Amino acid sequence: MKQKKAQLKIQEMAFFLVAIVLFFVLVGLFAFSIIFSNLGKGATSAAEARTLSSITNLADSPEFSCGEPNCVDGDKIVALMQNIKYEKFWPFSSLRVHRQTTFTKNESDWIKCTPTNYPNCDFFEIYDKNVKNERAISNYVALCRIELENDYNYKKCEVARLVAGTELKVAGE
Amino acid sequence: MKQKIKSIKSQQEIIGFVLIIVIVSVVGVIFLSLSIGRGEPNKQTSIEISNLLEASMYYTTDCAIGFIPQYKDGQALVKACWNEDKCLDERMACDVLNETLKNIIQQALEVCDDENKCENKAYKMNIYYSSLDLDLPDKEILNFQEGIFEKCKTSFGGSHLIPLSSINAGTLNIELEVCRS
Repeated sequence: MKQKKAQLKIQEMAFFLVAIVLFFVLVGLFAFSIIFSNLGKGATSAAEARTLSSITNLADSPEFSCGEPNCVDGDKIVALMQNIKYEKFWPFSSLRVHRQTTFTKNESDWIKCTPTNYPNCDFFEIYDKNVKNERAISNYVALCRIELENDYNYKKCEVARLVAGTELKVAGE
Repeated sequence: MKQKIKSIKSQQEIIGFVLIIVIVSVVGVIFLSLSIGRGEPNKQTSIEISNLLEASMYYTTDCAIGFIPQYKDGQALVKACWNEDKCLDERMACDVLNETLKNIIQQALEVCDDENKCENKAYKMNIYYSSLDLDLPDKEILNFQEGIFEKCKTSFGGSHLIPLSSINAGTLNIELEVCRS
């Protein structure tokens, strides 16, 4: 009789332990879901920040900057386009600036900017190394130039996209 | 006999207890899976959107104040709108700001219902004044929206602040939120 009672108590204890383990598993799962959802958000924004900061830094570099943060100088870009040395200066496989007109025009209708047609054009191609696998990252910047009206010079700015291409390295190549 | 009945009763109690635990666990797991899988879409801060707002603040508008070509840029136009100024051609600064920003954002963020054609479903822009005195409520300056802000897979946004250093010390806040399908 005593043995049966002891068995029952052991059974009771075993079930109780199972219940406690299940409870803690649930609490753990809940905690993990919260922690990992925050981690996911953090990882996404960190990756985005890393990629975009490289182009933001590029826009703020002396070769591009119009003197304000996140603003590029159109006249400097025209000068850069004529200097082939810059292909090796930045770690990008291609560099372009798309003017506001490209946001609504079909790509086939875009007019490439040259020193002769600027500012009546759509995009600047600073350089292009013509690599096979390329991923383009872009950032919105202000594109400014000096205009003359009524004998006064003033800074005319528009919204543009600074597009940088990076070569994707394929394993085994 | 009595002891046998007692042990059967206690066994039944144990089984009942275990059943309750199992049911509670199953309900808990279902609740967890639902809360993880079907939560609200993540609202993220986007550097790209903040940069778009910053770039649009440099945009040279066609609102001249004083003489031509003293055209206001986006940021100066927001301030002019807050001060209820007029352009040289008698247009209200707020009307020009509304038209200019709508034009820029519409062009930069293509919006449509078909997710195969474009990735953005809707956006909403909000410009408001916040006083340094936190007890005072925000004052709305301008807001507009394109598309329907529903069933977004993700929503992200950016903001730009313009500090005011006058009698009305505070900040002019420009916020843009985008719904992605």
